[in-house]
Amino acid sequence: MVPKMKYLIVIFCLQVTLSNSQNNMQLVVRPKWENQPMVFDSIYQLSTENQISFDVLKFYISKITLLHDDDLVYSEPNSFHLVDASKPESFSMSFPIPEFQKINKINFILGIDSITNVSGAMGGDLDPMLGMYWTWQSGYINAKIEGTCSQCETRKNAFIFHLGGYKQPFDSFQNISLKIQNVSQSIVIDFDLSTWIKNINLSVQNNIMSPSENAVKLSKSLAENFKINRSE
Amino acid sequence: MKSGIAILILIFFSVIHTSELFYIPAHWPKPVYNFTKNPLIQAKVNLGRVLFYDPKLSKDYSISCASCHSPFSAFAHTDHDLSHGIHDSIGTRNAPALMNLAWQDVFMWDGAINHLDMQALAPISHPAEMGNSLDTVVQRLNNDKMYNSLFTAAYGNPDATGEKTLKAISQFMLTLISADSKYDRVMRKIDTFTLQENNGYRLFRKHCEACHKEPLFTSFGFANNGLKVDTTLVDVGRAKVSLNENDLYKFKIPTLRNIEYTYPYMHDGRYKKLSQVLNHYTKDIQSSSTLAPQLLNPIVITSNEKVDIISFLLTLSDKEFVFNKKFQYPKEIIDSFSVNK
Repeated sequence: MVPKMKYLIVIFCLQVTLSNSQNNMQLVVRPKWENQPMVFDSIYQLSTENQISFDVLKFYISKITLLHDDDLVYSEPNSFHLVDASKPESFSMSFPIPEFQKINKINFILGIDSITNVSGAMGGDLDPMLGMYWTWQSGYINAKIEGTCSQCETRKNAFIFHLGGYKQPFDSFQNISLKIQNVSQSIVIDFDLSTWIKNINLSVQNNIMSPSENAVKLSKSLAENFKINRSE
Repeated sequence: MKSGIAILILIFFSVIHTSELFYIPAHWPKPVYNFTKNPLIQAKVNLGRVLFYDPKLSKDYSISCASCHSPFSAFAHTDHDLSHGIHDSIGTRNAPALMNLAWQDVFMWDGAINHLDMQALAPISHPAEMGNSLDTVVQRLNNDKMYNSLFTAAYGNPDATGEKTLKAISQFMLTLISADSKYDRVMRKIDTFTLQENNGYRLFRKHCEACHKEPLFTSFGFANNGLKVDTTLVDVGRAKVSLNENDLYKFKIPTLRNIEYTYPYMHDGRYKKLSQVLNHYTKDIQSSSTLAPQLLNPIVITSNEKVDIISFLLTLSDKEFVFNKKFQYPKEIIDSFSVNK
């Protein structure tokens, strides 16, 4: 009886440790204007003479992998997230990783890869009804950024950037790899819209809605403005 | 063990079921559509067929897919050179015939669409066609009791999504196989060409086959076939999509199956008769840097030979396809699902 009980206790303890051996790593992606959260319809100072405000900001984060010293710790299955600045709940994602496991690198794609682009109709965040799929020419829109700026001599001073394209030479999805201090709980990535848009001459370039050389350029600089927030 | 047998039986019946909806005709290549991601079942084909014929897909409830793709003209639009849309708008290209779509990798005259599932999005959203959005279509379907039942039958629950809607339309379009023309019967050795048709076939193989390859009567490529540029449209074709000047004025090589029913011809519907098409190839080729290499040397054929080629082309008419009740307005499905509201 007594040895049997011992076994049972050991098994019970094992089960408890096994069920507790997972930890949820949180990832938060935050759209920012300089050091503040980007807020729609807020009027920001673009330069001394020009003001700017935003009313659409959506982008895809996909194929997320977490690494430690270049060893793969976690690769998210079916990893497609539409981050929409009008839906703060879309900023947060979480991934089950082993307890006590440290992470010091995150890799992901800003946008949607080529193979997914030619794979037909899909659901969830990839559903074409979400408005992130071009209708007249197949392909996902990796990022949509729209707003108004006094610098744009367009109707209602509007600017529209729909960045996408999956076919060479205009493939515009971006592989991003960010190093992190060893963490086990959460990763915070800030996307600073101000540094991206200040590099664009909005009086000349204010309307991109198809795959092109300029779409690729703007997508590259977009990717450069995704940075790990080390203060949190 | 028992459940294993049950699964085997289920697989067996689902295969039988699929073969009724879809088959690969003898000597045809493998289809390019990936059926594993969207296996055909009758309830989804039914849903797709109802959607195909429903003007609810257009902004003002006036235009369905079938408005420009009529079964009786092999799913093309007889007599209309350019496609029509809501508020009598007119597009810039001729509505193409729909058949054997499981073998086609890219769609539209310029190949702008990369997958059959995504094809329907274009006419649904185009302001001069249905002028709608997929989002609105899905909302309308979710608010419609008949569609609640059709989606439940197809997908197990009443909720419509963009993915399910597009995949159901694909399911119906995939069943549109045309492989029962006189040409097909001759190839199966259960019919014979007349002398004239036979001579036309010989000439066809000599002059046309390079681009309109058997058995699908297209190579699925893009080519500049030497049409004079219509200055009212200035359509650059494939170059609009690829932004590559080597693609200027190239358009999809269309299938010639059912060509008797699919007039007018060319991407802008400029020719009403097959004789005009043949005259174009013998007399009117415009030379340019992107002209198809097969057309660099003039095609020399007599007027009698042209008549023979046309007599062969008419053997590509598939009456079984054009008059197939399973492809027509789904009255029986609508009736049965409307009763069960």
